[in-house]
Amino acid sequence: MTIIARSTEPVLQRPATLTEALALSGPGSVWWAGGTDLWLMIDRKGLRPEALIDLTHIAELRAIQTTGAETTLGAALTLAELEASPLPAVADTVRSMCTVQTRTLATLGGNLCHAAPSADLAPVLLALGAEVSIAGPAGTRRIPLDGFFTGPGRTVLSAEEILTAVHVPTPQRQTAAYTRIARTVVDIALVGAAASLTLDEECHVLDARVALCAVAPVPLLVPGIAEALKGRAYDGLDFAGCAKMAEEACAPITDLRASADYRRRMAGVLTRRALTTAADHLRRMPCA
Amino acid sequence: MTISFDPTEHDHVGKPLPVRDAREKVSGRLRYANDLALAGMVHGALVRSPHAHAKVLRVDATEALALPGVVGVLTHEDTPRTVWDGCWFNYRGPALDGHARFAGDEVAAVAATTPEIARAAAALIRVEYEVLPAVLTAEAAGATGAEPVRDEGNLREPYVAEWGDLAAGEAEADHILHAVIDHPSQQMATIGRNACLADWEGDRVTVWTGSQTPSELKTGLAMALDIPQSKVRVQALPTGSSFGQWWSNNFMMITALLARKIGRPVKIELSNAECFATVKRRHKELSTGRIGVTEDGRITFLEIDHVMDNGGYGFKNDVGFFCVDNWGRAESGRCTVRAASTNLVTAGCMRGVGDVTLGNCVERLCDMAAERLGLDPVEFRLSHQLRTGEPLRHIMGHDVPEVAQARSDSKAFRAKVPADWPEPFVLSSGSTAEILREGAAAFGWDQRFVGWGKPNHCDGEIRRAVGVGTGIHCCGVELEGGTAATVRVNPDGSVKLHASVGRHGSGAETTQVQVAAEALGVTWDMIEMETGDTDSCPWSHGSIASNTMYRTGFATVSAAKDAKRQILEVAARNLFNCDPDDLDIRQNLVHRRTRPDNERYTIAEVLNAVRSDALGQFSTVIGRPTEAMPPSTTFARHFAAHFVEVEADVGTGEIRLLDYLACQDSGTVVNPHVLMNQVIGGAICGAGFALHEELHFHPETGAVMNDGFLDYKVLRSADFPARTQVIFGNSHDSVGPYGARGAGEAPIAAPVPAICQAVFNAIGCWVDLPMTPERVIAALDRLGHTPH
Amino acid sequence: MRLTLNRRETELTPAPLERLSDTLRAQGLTGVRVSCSEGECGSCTVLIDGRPVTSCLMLAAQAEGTSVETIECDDPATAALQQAFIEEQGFQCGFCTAGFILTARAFLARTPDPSEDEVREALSGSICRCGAYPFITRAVLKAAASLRGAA
Repeated sequence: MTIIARSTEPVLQRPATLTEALALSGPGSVWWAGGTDLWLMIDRKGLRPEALIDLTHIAELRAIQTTGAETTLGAALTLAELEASPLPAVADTVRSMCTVQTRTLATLGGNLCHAAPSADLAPVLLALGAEVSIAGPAGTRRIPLDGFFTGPGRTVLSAEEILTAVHVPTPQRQTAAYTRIARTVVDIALVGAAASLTLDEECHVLDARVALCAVAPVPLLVPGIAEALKGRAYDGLDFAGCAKMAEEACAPITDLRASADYRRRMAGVLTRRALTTAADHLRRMPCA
Repeated sequence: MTISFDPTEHDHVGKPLPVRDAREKVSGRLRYANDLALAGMVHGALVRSPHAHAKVLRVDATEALALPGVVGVLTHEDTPRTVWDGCWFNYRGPALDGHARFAGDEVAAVAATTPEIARAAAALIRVEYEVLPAVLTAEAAGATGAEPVRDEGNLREPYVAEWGDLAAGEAEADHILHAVIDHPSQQMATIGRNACLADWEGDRVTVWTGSQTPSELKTGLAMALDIPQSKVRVQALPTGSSFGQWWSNNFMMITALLARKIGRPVKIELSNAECFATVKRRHKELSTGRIGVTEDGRITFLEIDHVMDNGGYGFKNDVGFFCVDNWGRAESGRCTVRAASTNLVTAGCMRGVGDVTLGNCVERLCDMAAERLGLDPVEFRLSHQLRTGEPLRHIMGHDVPEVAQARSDSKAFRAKVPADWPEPFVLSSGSTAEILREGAAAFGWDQRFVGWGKPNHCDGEIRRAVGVGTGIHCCGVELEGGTAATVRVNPDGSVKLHASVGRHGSGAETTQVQVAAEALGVTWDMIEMETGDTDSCPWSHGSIASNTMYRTGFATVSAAKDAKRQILEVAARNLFNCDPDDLDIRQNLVHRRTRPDNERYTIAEVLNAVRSDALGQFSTVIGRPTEAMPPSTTFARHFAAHFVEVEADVGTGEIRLLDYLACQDSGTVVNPHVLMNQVIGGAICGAGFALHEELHFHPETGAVMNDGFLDYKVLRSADFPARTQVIFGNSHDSVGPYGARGAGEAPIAAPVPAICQAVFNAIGCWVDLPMTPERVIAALDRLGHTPH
Repeated sequence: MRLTLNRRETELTPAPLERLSDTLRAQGLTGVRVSCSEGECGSCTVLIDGRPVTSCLMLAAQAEGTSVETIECDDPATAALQQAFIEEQGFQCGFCTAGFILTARAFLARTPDPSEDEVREALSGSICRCGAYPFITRAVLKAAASLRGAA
């Protein structure tokens, strides 16, 4: 571990293990997980942390592990590293995010813990049914990602806790897709929607999820999608009902980027498109 | 990308030579203002008003001055009661007068040993304000009882261009169509912030900053500082992309004032947010227009009322539009521009001023007429647009007596001017005709345009269609002064060209050298150019209004010819014993025209011959312009015709550009690489304005809300088509250097109508600007159905 | 802190919250151009262990132990790109150019034979407000060809 200390400004501390990181945590300390959002909060928004603890050199936060049933992504993996993720929907999503330069620094954990309502990785991971591991002074816990976000910039994490990994179930016969609306090729999503479809052995829908970003204070899992599609043959599904459910689940705001009305409508359009793309992917998948 | 270009037979003109500073640019070694430092320099920061409109009652700098490292503070009480103005009243006002006219306006400045301390000190300066009512729109500025933004009142004298009998035109029309287009304010959104350094020696000041207008800046500084121009030296440096942002700016005046007050060199570097929100922007412009056409396709009248806001310090009464010239075959017309001061950040000329906005309205009206009549938009343009030899309608400077005389009594005017001057108020060369025809053929227009409001391809929610648009602009404007250049030939035969031009990427430092080398007969490597030092460059208009190649180039060529004449006179007298007219220079060698290989001397030999001659007086030849330039606004224009294919997603409203062809008629192409870059760069900036670019102002304070690239969206490489083509026209101008005219502004005017038309053809309705996804959906909602 | 700066072992002493872009410019590396300072424009791009980073969004302290390369670093791929940018005039004002060249260098190292669309996509992290994109794309394709020829 290296500590760089030169003045009264908070120094960037660089723990090598999770245990060291947790031990460094103190009043006013913040976790640094790439810093591309955090730095702008310091530089522009007047955030004045007492200490910065860099999590990006902790090997256990930087691993990708695939077991039979799930893929675990370390929270300190950079977006650039996730471009090669074994989860195609995640890799596709990452390539649509920010700039190639920012992707070198920004991390999975940073994107989720910054908890921007427009965070692109949130809907795709919600749609994939991800869970997250959290380490803290009292030990570790694992919770569904649905419920992790509590408001703009807020999560269930306490100041001493670290998001360590994201677990993505990888069932057979599942596909997912993320679609977003942006002004130019580099932009915050005006609206984003991700969908996943899982089939049973008879090619009927076993499970389905739709999640949205930039349409509510938190990234949103649309309720009722699985119930609406379950048991249906995947070919020729009509997603109009799901689009309506997405529109109803929204609580968007109007800002410089888009109006609430537009966002709500687009939640429906993108829901239909994400589900259609996921269904198209299924068509290319042999059904047992 | 393919290029159609026919190279000429000149040594330098027409050659795609690499720009002179290419190596410095690719290696990161070019010096911009923010790279510069002076010994003993301190750093300045500006205190800005949070209010749209307020009087400063008191400035308390006690806390700021107590901060270690703070050197001094400047307020309006330290500032001379002078008003400075910039080119064409892009700025008119005092540098600091205790009256804040927009949120972000400068009210004080502080100097400190580091930029960080200066910024911290600026935050500690307590300013007490009397908040005044604010007018945030041109409409509010003109309302009865509106709070005056300026002492001169809020409204400028309307500017009118008119011709023919409008009432008759209206009576004769079979169809009259209306359009109202609200043009939002575009931000230059420069890459590369600017900085200014000022250093006084006694009562003389030297100022280093990025500027397109070194001479105008010298004039402005002399006014703001209340000193003679001889005591001001500007060393203008390259800037990042400028588009009119970095001419003469008030922060430059404040830097010089602050340096004078504290008696040390000062540097003020603007932040990106300051560049976006406190310097300059394109006007907000509301165009309301009508057009009348007959069933057989005549345009009987064209009428536009155009309202623009000047912001706090702009003082213009027109937007320099030339689009009415381009559509001047209309049988009658009236175009009225009304300008108002508002409590928004200063508005001024941005690239293609007027022709991007008012031009879009003219093109829209004509498109609506063509649609009503079921006529092809290329054909309609070919029928109705200006050709060489036809009258110009936009009589710029109509209130200048000489202009009025030239207009009313062309014969008397001609008797007073050289015989080879072009006819005033008649287009001297070029038009859209050739580039429209060649462009349409190269683009496959006849196959790809399948009718108004009809996509040529539908796939699910995707619609594709093509559009065409034309643009025009002037080739420099002479109404504020002449251009000049000097060519100094050194004893070794090397040459230095001095001409005051901008270095914001338009390649003037290269193309001026090309025409000078051509005129003088020397090789490319023998000439260097000084562009920014006002102590060596004669006063010149700078790089604005597509002025540089046409008007500065004229002066440069004239100065080079004068230098050449002097060299030939010396050679004729001392070496050849002949008439100077029998001699010529080519490839640095002086020779007889008739026997070029027989007897040749280098320029150095010629000049050294005179140095050793008892009669010799000169070791350096100085050439200066000897010919008067005819007033270019009265006869010269440059033209663009752009063709585009777009893809509209009627589900989300997203628009993608698929294919782009930009055709340009600028007369002779001096450097095809430079011109292609100007053309495509204009297309991309115009396309950005059509699709995304819009400043948002706070509803109460008028402050710019999107003061960075996060929410002011400009196009990136994947947003512009890979399939991009440039075609140049072949016209030749009798006045411009080697037949060249202006270039940089018509290319930003053409893309807006072209893309609007393509979107119309894709989705069946016109969309408000910028055509964001949301506005496309709103337009489709108004239409009530999705076309296919 | 120690790092490898343009292939030389270097010791620097930045303030704790100093941006890497400021640290590098203070070393006289004016090719690190700062414009937006919020990671949007790409002018300040440098390579960290071969990957492009907008150095305005990075603390100098984050660069400890890494290899930092700027446009000033002697490199054959940089040189090939510079030459191609000159020949195709892949710039106007030149402010963004170093950022484009370094991003392109990192991209070509992974994608030596890219398509035109891949180049346009890969360079979208930088803004060329002058609008030289088609010429930049041509320059990168030209440099890629020359580097493949040299390899």
